[in-house]
Amino acid sequence: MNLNKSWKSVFVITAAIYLVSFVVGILIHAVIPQTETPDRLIVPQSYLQQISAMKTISIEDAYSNYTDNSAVFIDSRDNAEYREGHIKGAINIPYDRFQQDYPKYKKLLTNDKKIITYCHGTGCGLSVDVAKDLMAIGYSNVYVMTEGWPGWINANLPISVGKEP
Amino acid sequence: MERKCVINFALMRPVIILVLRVILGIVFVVAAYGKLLHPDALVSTVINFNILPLGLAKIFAETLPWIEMIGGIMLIIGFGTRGASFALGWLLVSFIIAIWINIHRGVSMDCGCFDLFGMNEKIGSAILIRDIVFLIVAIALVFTKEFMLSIDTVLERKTIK
Repeated sequence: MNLNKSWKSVFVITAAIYLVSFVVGILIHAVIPQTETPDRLIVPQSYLQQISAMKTISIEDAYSNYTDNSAVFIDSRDNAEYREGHIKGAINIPYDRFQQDYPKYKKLLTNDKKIITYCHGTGCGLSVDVAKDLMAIGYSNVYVMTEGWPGWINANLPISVGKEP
Repeated sequence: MERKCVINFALMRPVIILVLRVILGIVFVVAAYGKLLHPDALVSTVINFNILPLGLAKIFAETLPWIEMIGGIMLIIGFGTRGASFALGWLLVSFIIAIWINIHRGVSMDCGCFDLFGMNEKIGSAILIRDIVFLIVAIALVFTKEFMLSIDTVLERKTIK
């Protein structure tokens, strides 16, 4: 076989593999929906009362703040859950460790950036607790991302695992 | 008279190429299988590499396992071997660049290379070196004239006849 003459077939085969893979991938994705729809949640009345007193933010708006770096995300779940996966760049202030952990991040939490808290999604009050603690010490730019971690994951947005950034 | 036992590398070469070809093929088929089992995890991984924009990352994640699967099978059976190696080689180049960029950024993240058997590798220099080794094998295959035990060779002999 003449190696140089057969380069054309190499390129053709490569292009064919890429094209077929692309078509198969797109077709399979269209036939089998990949993301599971979340079950309907029964939201406690107490949560609805609490959340009505807070500023909330949708996943879409939070992501646009994420992309232009105009928000700090606070994961208010416990540290083990945070390590398993969290919004990329988010800091971890567990709801029950606010007093101990807040001083570590004091410099990051300024009034010129949104502070977005989140936890396990709709019905989860941990992010509300942390948001309340922040508002009590004078922050006015605090938002609760009500759809939380499940919403972020379902939207396939950037995450990281392990220790804090 | 003493007879020297000399390993003839020229004769061994086709065998070495065969072994490398089949190993590389199996590696890609296994990698593809794991990715196809967990498509959502793959989309998250590609997005997390933070290189492609969202829309392109999703398309890449949908296409990637099939390139690995088709390319891997072609290497194992030796059909369009050089083309398959070339296709997989460019894939490896993209992995190497993506991993290198994220190591450079100091991000600790899942590699998503083999999403199988509960493997949960983090990107790092070991994975970078592994991909470079695979790339070297792929390049060697692209520049190989003849493949032992391959459909390519059978087809070529038929054409000559």
